[in-house]
Order: sequence, then C-alpha cells, then structure tokens
Amino acid sequence: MTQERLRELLRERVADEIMPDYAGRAWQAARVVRRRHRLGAAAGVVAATVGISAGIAAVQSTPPTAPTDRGISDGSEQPDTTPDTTYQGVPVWWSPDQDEELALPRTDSPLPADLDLGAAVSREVSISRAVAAFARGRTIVLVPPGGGTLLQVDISRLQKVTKPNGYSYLPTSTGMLTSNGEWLVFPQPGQTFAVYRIATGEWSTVDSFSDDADAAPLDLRFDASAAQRYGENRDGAQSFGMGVPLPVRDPADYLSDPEFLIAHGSVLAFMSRLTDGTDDRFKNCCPVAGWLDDDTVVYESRQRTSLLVAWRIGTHDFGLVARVHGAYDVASFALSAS
Amino acid sequence: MDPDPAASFTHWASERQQALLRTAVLLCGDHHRAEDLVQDALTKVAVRWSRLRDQNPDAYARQVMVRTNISWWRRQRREVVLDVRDGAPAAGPSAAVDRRLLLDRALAQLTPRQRATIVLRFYDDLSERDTAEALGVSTGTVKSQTHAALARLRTAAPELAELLEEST
Repeated sequence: MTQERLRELLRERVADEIMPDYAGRAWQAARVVRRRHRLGAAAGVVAATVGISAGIAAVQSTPPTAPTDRGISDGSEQPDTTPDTTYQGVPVWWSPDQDEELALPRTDSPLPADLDLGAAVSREVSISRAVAAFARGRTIVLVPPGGGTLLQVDISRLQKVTKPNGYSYLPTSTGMLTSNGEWLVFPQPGQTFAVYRIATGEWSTVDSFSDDADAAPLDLRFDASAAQRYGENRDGAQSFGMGVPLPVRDPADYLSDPEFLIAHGSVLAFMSRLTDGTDDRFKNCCPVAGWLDDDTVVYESRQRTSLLVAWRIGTHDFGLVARVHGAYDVASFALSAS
Repeated sequence: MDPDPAASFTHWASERQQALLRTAVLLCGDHHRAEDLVQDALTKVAVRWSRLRDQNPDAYARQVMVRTNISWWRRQRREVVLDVRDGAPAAGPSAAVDRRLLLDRALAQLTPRQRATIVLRFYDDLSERDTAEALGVSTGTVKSQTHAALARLRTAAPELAELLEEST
C-alpha cells in the first residue's frame, strides 16, 4: 500500500531525532508568562487607582509620593534566568511591551526619574559633564549627572551634512555625546568635526576625533544580516531593526520579526503590542543607551512617552530608569558601568 | 484538583516532547527550527495546563506547532528553506540516507498546509477531523489538501513515487 510505505518513510526519516528535556524550562517559562499576565492586569488596576488618587490629590493639594521601589533586583536574590524562547537554539528573552514598560517599577540610576525637556534653561550654570543629550531641532538639552537643571545648548552654528545620495541632514546622532560625557561632537562638511566642550561651553573645529570607548565585538550566535543595526555599540550591546524571525510572545497580539538587542550574547526581543497605531513603538525604537553595571544594560524605548528601561541581561528583571517628557529628534547617552 | 501541576505537566512533557519533536521536524524540515517549535508549544501548554491536563494537551501542542510553522513560513516564503542535493536513491549502505534526502526534497515541494496535512494524517495517524482541527480548516479541505499533496509528491518527486510504489 503506497500510503503505508509513506508512513514508513516518514517514521524512518525522524527515528533518530532527539532534543534535550525542555519540560522543566517550559514550566518555568510559563510561570513568567502567567506572572506577566497578572502584572499586566494589576498594572491596569494600579493605573486606574492612580488616576482616581491623582484626582483626589489635586483636590486636597497633597503632593504625590515618589515611587521608591527598585525594579532591578540587587543581586541578593537568584534571578530567574530561564529564557522565554529560543531562536536557532539561541536563548531569547522578551521585553515588556510598550504598555508594560510604562508600568515598570523605578530603578536607581545617574539619571533623574523624569526628564522634562521643555524645562531646560539656557546656559546659566556650569556642569563638567552630562549623562544624556537630547537633540531638539537646533537645540541640545544636556542632562547633568544625578539630576539638577537641564541645560540648553544652541547648535545653530552647525552646518548640515550631505550624504553621497544628496540627502542633507543636521548631524545630531546617538553618538554625539562622548562616552565620558565631556564633549558633544558633530561631523561637518569637509571631513571636519565641530566639538563642544561641556565644561566650558567652548566650540572648536578639529580634523579628526576618536572617542575613548571602543565598540566591543558583538557575541552574535545567529545570522542577523537581514536586520539593520542602529544606534551605538555600547560595550558589546547593540540594537537591530526588524528582519529576523525571532519568536514573539503571541503572534496574534505582537508584531512579528521584532526588533531586538544583543548584549554580551543575550538576546532581548522587543515586544510591540499591536494597537490601532496611536501608541505603537517607533521604528528603530530601542537603541542601546549604556550600562548601569556590568550586568544591566539600558535601552531607550521610543514610544508615545519615551522611556529609558534597564534590563539585567539574561533574566526577567526590568526596571524603569527614566521617563522623557517632551519631543526630541535623537538622544545620546554617557552611561557606563565603569 | 491537581495537587502538583508542575509535576504532572513535567511528566506529560517529558513523555511527549520527543514525539512532538519528530512531528515538528517533519513539519518544518529543520531540527533547530523544530526544537523552537516544540519549546514554544510546551510553554503554551504549560501556561494553560490547568485547563488542558484533563483534555488533550497533545492536540493543543500539535495545533500550536502547525499554526506557528505556517505563520513562520508565510514570513519567510522567499527563502529557500531546505538545501538538499539532487540524485536518485542508490542501493547499498547509503540507501537510507538517500531515502531521507529524497523525502526532504519531496516534502519541500509542498505548501506548509499540504505538508502539515501529510504529516498529521500519515505520520501522526490523525483522523481527518483531528487534522482539520489542528489546521483550523474543514474536513473537506483536509481531504482536498491530502489529495493535492499526494499528487504533488508523485509529480514533483517521481523518484519518491517510484519508491512508494516499490512495496505495492
């Protein structure tokens, strides 16, 4: 019988296929999914409660209490390192989606919890360095370490740079703040650089410039050539655009072929919940901003309210570093573990 | 009431995962991809274990693998999934390897839904109704897909058709 022979061939084909026992890891992964579902539901309740409480606070003029809990575990607890899934045998963790990120607990960092770019003032005080720089048209907003007044720097002196294809652009970028936070650097026509020294407010022009921080090699364990890199390589952490079919939490609810980040060999796939288009993640949503410590990478989450999110690599620990209020074109950070 | 759902799930998953892997390999033709499919399916079964343990977790796991694989294939349809060499099956010690390559090449000629139909009907020995449920289609579609898949195997891979006729 032909179909019986087909059965035999199919069975012969896979008779020696085996895989490691994944049963225990699947149960652990499911616990994480269940916990996230519960947190998602709880976040909704909390958001509603906060909304009601905020209304009451406004009436009673009671200042709100700042959140103080630490989202990233401090190392005293053994973190859950079970990946959410794998791609070509490589472990992959899923980020919180854009809504869940907004509800993450706060994490300590050199950045203030809330960055109101509209409150930046023209240079009145001096700072020696910055931990972040946000480009807004022909202005840069500098964020000093540990908080304090945000400063505006006028960059209208900069000339646009023209690409070989004729496209001209203002040369602000994710790499404009040097890794030590002391300089702003912008490429200019004629293969020169305009350099702004933050401590003194002085501009100069140089023919060449090299940041002290070298981009560490990436530990890439699968072919990512279909996805375009974006942002900076910060000490071995790099973000990639769409193009690699990493599994997502649920294909019915999340954008497939997600953008992702690779940090010291660990892969974080950015979950983007499908919406009506009003609160999506931006394209190239999540450039690497830097590191809080040797194990905790920070990424920028560009969405309706842009955020900085910390991920303890290879775990399910995430925390909210900062919320950014106000529009901006591009941001650059000097967050280093050392 | 299950006093230890983790233990009952782990027991079920440990028993069934190798069989699921073999189905997954036939569905997608790639071992690594098949492992990913199984891991994804096991995790989804684990999430719903309280409801599935007394029903048919195997069927749900197969359904997840089949549908995930079809979704994945739709995104990757421009890629050549399999790299198998040409050549007729030879007699001798390598005959089994050649049959395997021949089968891989033949299955690669099918659409993912046709391929899943063949695998579920003739490897997993599912009924037309169960196959339809796994694929999310009607039993009529399963019948027509089975017919089309067998015809395509015969025309697109004549060496396999000859092999299938050998034992008749």
